[in-house]
Amino acid sequence: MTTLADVLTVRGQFARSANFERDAESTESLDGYVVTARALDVVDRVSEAALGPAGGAWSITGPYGSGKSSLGLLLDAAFGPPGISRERALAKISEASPTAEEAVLQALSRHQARSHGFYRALVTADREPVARTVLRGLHRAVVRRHGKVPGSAEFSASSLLKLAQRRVNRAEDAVDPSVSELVDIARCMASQAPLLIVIDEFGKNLEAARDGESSDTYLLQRLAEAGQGTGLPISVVTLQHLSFEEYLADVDDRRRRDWAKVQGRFVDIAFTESAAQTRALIAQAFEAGDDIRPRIDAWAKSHAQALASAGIADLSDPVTIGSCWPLHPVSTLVLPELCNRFGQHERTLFSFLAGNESGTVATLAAGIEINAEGELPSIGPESVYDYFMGIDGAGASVVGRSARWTEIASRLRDANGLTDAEQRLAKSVALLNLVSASGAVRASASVLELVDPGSSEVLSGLEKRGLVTYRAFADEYRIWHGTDVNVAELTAAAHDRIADQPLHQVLGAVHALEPVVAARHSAQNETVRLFRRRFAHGDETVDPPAALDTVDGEVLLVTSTDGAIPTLSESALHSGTHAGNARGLEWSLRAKPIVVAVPDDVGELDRAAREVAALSDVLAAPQVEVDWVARREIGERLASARSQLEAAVTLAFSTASCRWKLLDGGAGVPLSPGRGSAPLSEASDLAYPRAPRVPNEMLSRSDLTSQGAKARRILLEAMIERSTEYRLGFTGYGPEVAMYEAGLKHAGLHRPSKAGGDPVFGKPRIRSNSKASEALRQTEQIRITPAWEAIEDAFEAAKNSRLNVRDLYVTLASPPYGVKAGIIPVIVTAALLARADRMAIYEHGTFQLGLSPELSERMVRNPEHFEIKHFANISGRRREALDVLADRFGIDAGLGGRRVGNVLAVTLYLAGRMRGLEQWTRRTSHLSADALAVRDALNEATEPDVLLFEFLPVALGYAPIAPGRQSAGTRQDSQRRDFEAFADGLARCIDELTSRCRSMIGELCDELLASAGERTRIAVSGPAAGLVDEVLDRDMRAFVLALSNDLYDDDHDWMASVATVVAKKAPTEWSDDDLASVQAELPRRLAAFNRLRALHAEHRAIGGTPFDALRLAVTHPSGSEAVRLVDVAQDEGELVSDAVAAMLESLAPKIGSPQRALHVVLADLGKRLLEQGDLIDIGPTQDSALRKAAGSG
Amino acid sequence: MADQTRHICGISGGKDSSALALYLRDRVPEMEYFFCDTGAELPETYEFLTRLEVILGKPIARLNSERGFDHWFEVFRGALPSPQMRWCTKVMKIKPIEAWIGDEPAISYVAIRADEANRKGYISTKPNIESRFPFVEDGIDHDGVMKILDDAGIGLPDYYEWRTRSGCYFCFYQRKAEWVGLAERHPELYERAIAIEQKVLLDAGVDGDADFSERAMTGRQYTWSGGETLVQLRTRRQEILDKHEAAMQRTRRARDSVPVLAVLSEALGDDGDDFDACTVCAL
Ligand code: SF4
Repeated sequence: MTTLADVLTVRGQFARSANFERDAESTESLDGYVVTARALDVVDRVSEAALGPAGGAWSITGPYGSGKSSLGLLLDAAFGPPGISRERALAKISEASPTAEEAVLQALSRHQARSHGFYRALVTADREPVARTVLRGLHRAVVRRHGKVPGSAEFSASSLLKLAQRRVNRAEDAVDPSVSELVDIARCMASQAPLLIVIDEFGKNLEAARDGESSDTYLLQRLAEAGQGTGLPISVVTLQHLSFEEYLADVDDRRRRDWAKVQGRFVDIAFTESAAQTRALIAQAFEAGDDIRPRIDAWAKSHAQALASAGIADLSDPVTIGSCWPLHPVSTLVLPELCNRFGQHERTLFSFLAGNESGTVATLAAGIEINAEGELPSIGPESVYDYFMGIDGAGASVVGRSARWTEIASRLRDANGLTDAEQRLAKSVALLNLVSASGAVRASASVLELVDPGSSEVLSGLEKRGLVTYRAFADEYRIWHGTDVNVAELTAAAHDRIADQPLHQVLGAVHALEPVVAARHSAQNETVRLFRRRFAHGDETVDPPAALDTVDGEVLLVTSTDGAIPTLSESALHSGTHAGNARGLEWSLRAKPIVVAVPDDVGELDRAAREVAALSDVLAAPQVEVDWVARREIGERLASARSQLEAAVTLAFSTASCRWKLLDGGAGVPLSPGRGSAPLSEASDLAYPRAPRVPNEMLSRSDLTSQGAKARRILLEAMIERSTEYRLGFTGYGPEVAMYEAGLKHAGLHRPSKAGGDPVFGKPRIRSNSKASEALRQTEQIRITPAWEAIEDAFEAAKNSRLNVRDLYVTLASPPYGVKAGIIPVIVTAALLARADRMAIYEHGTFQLGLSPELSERMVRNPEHFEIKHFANISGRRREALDVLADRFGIDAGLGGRRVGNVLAVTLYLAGRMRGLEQWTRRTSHLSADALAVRDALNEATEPDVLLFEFLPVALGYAPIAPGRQSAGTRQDSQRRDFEAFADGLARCIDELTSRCRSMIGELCDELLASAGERTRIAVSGPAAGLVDEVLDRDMRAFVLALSNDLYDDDHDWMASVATVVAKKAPTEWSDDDLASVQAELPRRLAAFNRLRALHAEHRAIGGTPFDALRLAVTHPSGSEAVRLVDVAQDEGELVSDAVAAMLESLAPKIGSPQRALHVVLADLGKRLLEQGDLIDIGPTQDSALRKAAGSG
Repeated sequence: MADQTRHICGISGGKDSSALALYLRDRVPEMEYFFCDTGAELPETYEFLTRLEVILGKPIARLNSERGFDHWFEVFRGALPSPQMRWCTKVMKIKPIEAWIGDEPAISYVAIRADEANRKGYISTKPNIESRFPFVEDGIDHDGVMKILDDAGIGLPDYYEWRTRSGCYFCFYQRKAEWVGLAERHPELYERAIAIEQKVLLDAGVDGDADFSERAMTGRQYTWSGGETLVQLRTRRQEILDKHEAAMQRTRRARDSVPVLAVLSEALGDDGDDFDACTVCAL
């Protein structure tokens, strides 16, 4: 019996996974390997990059089994030394594309590497720090080339490499190599041959990083950049299953961002094959004997016709159909999708084709008989189903990976008593159900007819059993529960709705575009340049991103194909131009760059985009929202449509046929059609040639993190408050210190004014000492001078009119400087401090007393609220006047001890002296006429020069001091005398203003003492203290308490507190009215105090003699009341008492009773007292006080 | 060795803390007085503080004077403080106080009266700060406080005529009747408050206002006084005053011969218990 196995060879290398360590030296490793289009693309890129000086970095992301490792081996062999491996590799490449082979050869010869090849560091990562992996790779590359690690004569990094290797291999406390060691080793290698580093399973490194293994995130990037110097190119390729982000999903934000940034500097390549490519792989796996070829051709032709008439355009080419025999065409159709969706891609595919477990094509072949004539046997979808379902416990057993698969599998399993034919057909239906998303490949009657001619009977049998249902809207038989929602109809309607929408709008709605980093430029300049992206139409007029926007430019992906590109808006074109571009004046706008990408074909993009849009629309339809089956189906279709769209976007905008241009006023500057972000790097080179390069990750960015913002605030505060201290007084290694080092110190902005002097801010300069060359190197690298000069120019222009700080920010953020928003405040502050004695700062138009930390905080947040004006040192008459003023006020030491004779310094001095002026002084008219006039002038002037040269002289009766040359001879003398008189007058007024409030209180004190008839405060407060307990009245008591208070150091404070108690307001807050009423009230209070004191003094003065005081109050019928105090000495008292007793005794018989006699006598005495008129009316308030004072009886 | 412990007494501009300062004037000679200046206190408060300062014969340290409300309003670009986002107290009071106190041991004297011993004042959680309550210890109650103020001849801050506590003129904890009081006593401050509510700082400089209204979130605007803007509140002035007057009457009837201040406090529902609202700001 002849079986399929007899006429067919199945090649299987692809069926096992490649392994760097095992396969790199094997000459067979590439046998059976097929150079797919994706692989070719990578080969192309690596060789193209190797042609240039710099190398490159790629991260290849693809699922398990997509052939990434084999690609690594291919690169290894192709760029290796001459020999069989290289020959085979080149042959394979050339088979796929002769030009690609040509490029590899060119790259080899360009660097004289034909005879020895590149250094190839092929290495598979473990869960370990990247450094360890890389070291292993480098070591191996060296050994492969030289047989061992050569001595240092031949290989200068020899001992470095050996040592690092030894340290890493130590059984105990192994130490990983540092970044700089690895960079040094790599540099040494690159001085001999180009270096290609390929890391397989890079995901494991990332997992290690995720789990906290120490790792230097930037190692790979540094390695790739190490090639950009003097040596030969260094290229880095990493291979992993998921994107960096996905590995690091649950890592803290900072580390994830760091890695994302690293990945941003890699060119990302998605490594999956299209269905057609997969079919090509299938074809490569089979080799049929020559004898059977004609039969295959005939078989293929008839099937091709059948497929074509069934409307399956995907597979209608007899050659492909034939080369995939013994697979039935329907099997060939479904396999790519099946492997991608449910398996491990090519690995699964090849397991099925060539594996030696049961159910694979290779094992099945041995059991399928081949007749000499008639229809050729083939392996139909039912076998595919069996294999994938893992029947017999073998195969790829994917059940459980997909809900749909599970559902179908269990329905088939539960259906008992099916005939063979029914089983076969049901499995075919099942398989087609699994893969069908849309299109012609589905379980329709016509496709099933292809699988099993004459199957309609069987089909209706299955339908009757209820195992299979026909869904009319989809024209499809289904094993899985479908839905009654007519998805096709809904989708068609949705398509109709968006048919008229232009493509860029459709895309804009369904496909979010992440911003991209101009990777190469960013890495070279230590400054991340980010481009926003969107889809656009060629006839748009566009505005560049705003200067202070966080992105550095924009990419427009043009979806119209008539060749038109968007036009720059007028305002962008009028933003001005700058000179000094390294590439001449090719592009010199001051607006941020806009790059356009114009693909030559958007057919696929259009289809895919509209499909996604339509399906999203359908998914939101009300009837779909309530039908989970429909939702799931559409959801799946949408997912696959999205991935097609993804691919279509990549295809349209990443190929060489897409034209890239940098917009200018005309046809645009062509950019080299590039891969990844190369055109953006080129655009950034053109737009930002004068950008500083501040190597500080926290500062050199558009949006500071909250931690970064805090560190910068601390830095700015230190700049303002401790500008002359070494390192601004910083110690330690906080983030603000790192910012200081990178942004100020190494940039040469903060350095000694002269040798050995204190540091000051000033134009970028370096210290000259033994370390000069190192410092110079750093300063040159930071390249801050262009931005600094831009600030100086702006300051220069601010002599004539005020400069809004935001405008300065805009200038710095725009081309050609492109200074990152994080850095701008630091440099601007440095520049302001460098000229602190000349730059006036206005906030909301109001002149400010210099740069303070809090002002700086506001300026950082709202630069638009601030303006700057430059008061340069002046000359002539005004200069002379200024000198006189500065002299008179002793203003001489400015920053760094320079003599300051300028407007700003004098104004700031005056403003400083006026700052603490009391409210009273600000309002009072108790000032000399001159002082009043000076006070008005200071209040009214808003410009320093106007104040000094116009308002103040006029206030003091002098002519304004006009600008102009100094007069000569006697006129000069008289003028100088005028200036001196003016300065004296001004000084007198300032002194008067600052001391007037104090002297006013002094005057009050004098008045008080005079009213009290005393000469010293003690003479008042002492007696007052003795009275404190005698006074009950609230106000009087407070007054006496205040008088008695001896807490105060001097008369002024004492008087101020007394005055405060009287006025219920502090003197500094008084108005002149308050003063007047205090002046009136004070004598009254003192009079009362004096009387109190007198009474009290007599009371005490009598000494040992018994003493009594009486208060007599008499109320007149009119209601008025008079009071008389009577003090009675004991002997007087006795005398009167006797006389009165005698009088009462004699009157009593006449009047009636002694009691009655007493009353009448009292009334008479009272009348006498009233008539006598010397009763004191001491008023109701004092009344109560005296009641206590006198009320001992 | 000299005792390194600092003695500090915070002054809010209200009667209790002022009385405490006066009370401790002779008792704790090394006392340091401080006041957290938001730059947005009532003019009455500032005036009262200088009064107090003169009588104490010692300066009251003004904390935070460089970065008042206007500063933060600009730095936060018009973000309003509110009970939910009370950045005002945090950045203008608590942080400056803690920075000023530092890490040396300190004793903080808190003006909680004997008759409100269960009220919470701002009691720092910093471990180096010990709190003391002299009024509670010495049994000094409301009347005791008034006596201290009378004896010092300092009186009450004038705002007690229409408002029960110190604090920012626009404080969102004030009652509607107090807002009306502000509108009557300080129309210009009321205007400023209206503007601030709309994220505009009036007359920030000679160029005019600092306007952040464009940054305001569209949709419902946050209002300081529940349910209405300050502009709307002002139009209901009479209604609010009538209600307030009725509440005052009720209180007066309920208790004979109580001082105006007590009536005001009670009518405004400010009986000490719900005072937690602004313990740092109003003590
Ligand atoms: S008084 Fe009111 S507004 Fe002012 S800080 Fe306190 S809570 Fe904030």
